[in-house]
Amino acid sequence: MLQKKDNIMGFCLLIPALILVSMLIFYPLINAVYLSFRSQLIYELKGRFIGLANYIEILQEEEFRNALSLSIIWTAANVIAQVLLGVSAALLLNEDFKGRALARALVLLPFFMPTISIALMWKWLLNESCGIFNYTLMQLNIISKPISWLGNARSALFCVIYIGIWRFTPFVIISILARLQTIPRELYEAAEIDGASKWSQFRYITLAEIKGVLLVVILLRTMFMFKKLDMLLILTNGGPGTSTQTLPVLVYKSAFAAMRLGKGAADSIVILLIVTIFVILYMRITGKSQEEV
Amino acid sequence: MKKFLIMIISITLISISVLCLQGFANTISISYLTPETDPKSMAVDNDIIKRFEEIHPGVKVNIQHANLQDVLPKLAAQLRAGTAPDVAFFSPRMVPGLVEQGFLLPLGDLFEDIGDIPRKFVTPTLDHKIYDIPIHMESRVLYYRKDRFEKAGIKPPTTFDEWLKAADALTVVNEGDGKIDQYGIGIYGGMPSNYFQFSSMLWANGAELFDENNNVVIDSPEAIEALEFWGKLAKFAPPGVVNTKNTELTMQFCEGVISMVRFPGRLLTNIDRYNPELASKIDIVPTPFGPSGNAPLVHACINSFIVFSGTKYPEISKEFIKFYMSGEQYLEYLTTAAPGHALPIRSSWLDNPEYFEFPAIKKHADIIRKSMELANKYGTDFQLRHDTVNPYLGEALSMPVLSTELNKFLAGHVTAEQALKKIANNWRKRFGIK
Repeated sequence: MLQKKDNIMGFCLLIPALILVSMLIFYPLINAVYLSFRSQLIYELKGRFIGLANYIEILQEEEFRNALSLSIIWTAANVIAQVLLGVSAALLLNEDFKGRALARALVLLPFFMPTISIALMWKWLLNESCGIFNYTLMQLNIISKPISWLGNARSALFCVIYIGIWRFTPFVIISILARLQTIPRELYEAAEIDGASKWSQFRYITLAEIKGVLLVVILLRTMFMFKKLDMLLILTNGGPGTSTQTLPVLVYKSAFAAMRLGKGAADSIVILLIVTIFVILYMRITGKSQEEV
Repeated sequence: MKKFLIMIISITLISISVLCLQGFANTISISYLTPETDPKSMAVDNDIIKRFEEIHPGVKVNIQHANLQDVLPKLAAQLRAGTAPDVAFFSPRMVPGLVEQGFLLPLGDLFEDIGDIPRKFVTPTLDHKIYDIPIHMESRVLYYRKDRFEKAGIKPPTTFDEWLKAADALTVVNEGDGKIDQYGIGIYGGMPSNYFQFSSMLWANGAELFDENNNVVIDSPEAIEALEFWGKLAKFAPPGVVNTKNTELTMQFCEGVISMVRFPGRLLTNIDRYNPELASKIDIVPTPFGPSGNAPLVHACINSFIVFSGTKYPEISKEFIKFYMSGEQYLEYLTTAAPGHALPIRSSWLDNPEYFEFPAIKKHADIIRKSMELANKYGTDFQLRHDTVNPYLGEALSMPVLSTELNKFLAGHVTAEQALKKIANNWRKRFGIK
């Protein structure tokens, strides 16, 4: 009887949170699914039901295929570089050296700056007429005329990926560094006594210890980078042409620039399905880690 | 004692409630949605509203802001929620769509009442009624450096051919180091608004986006010719045309990097701010016309006031617009944020001494007067190309394929024909038209 009362009390306490979650997550999600089956312009009160037409359009669309492949390139390049650089930097920052505190603060700085500031700052640094990059290269006689870094398809993609790496690597550093600091020194001392090389110590102690965090970080970075919009929108708006138009940029343009809410919703549902794969993987990994604990 | 205290508190609370309710009952409240979000414009709006409320006791104007990109999504959300504003400052390109949905109130009586707005600047609608009151026009003309033209011994261009030759002549290569020191022209190629510049070239070459029967004709030979010309012109622009927008163009012109630029009057404010000495060295001409065109052109970009049909107070809403567009309010609006940019659309203001004596206007009076005259003579805008209503226009211009394909062309990814054919086919497919 007491347990039943507790259950009712527990459920009652959950109600406010459930209402909030329903309003903020489930309603928009259901509404997006509903909209994806409709043709609805942004200023129309009522659209019309068109079944799977938006999804069929997506499958036939060259822009969508292009955006999907760019999203994969953008995400993969960013995640691989962020993880490699992030782990390396974390290992370095975990060592004792003079000025370590300052180095840690400086390395983490890009992550704490607002995206809008970072995007605008890079846009001006790379500017053709007055950017410091072109100015320096011209002063050094490396180039004879300014390079349009964000105006050329290949260099634009390279630049946005580079800026993404610069901006988000600190997240990997923080996560890995936090885990590194909890590895007992005794493990390394014992390994050294046993004659283990530095590489063996890294492989069998460090890597084994940070493996769980690393996997979570890789999944989180993959999800975050896959749906990154603001930085790309400010830096290139998907251009030149569609050279940096990833899926989120395409969704934004479909829904708000083209004013087609239904098509934008269908695009975002496809993104949701892709990201869901990573969410399931993330849940499995975190669930497994908790079981191990 | 306790009972007495409770009674006193209850009476006080009831009295306050009644007084508040009475206050609310006597107040008429209208809302005004505007995309003018820079601090100076916001101050002007607040000032005008304050004055309006002073001479209309019991009327309260609640101002709502949304920047240009967000104004339509915000309005869409408001329309769905049944909380649309009473009055809005809006792009006339969306007017036919809103009229079709029954969202707008006819404003013919207000138009007559104001009396001096040229009818040609009002958006055509299906029922031939007036649903928008143009508030100003932005005259997009070709600014050029008089001193450089004189030095090069050339006249300001009137045709595409002369324009290209001028751009070539004014692109100066310092032979010593092989670096270009000065470019002929600045080109707005960045997404999503590059179609503004291209459309002017298109019109100046006798082409259209849609014909008078609303058939898509953006891929006509004349249109392809205009885009190819734009590409040729871009060769005399600083690198990075595909990312160049107004900020870059302003900087390039004020710094002397370029010698010509198509721009609205905001350029004058920027010259005052960044390089005042330039003011005496510049002049304007309308956009030159191409081999298939026959007259110069000015893109007179219009912005309008609209009133929503759901308003409870149509007369007060109209009164607010009339007040805004009259006397010192209109003068303040036209001269505060970017003098010379938002030009008066009321014809009686063409010779308004108060306007031309205003210090910021007086400084550039010749250019501003010329801008107004050119806009009145050659001015056109997307929604004004034909007398017929184009229900597809707003959506067509908003479709990313337009700016993306133009951008791709400027980046050298596609030819002019490929770009325009793709835009045309997308439009035809989307709207189910020829």
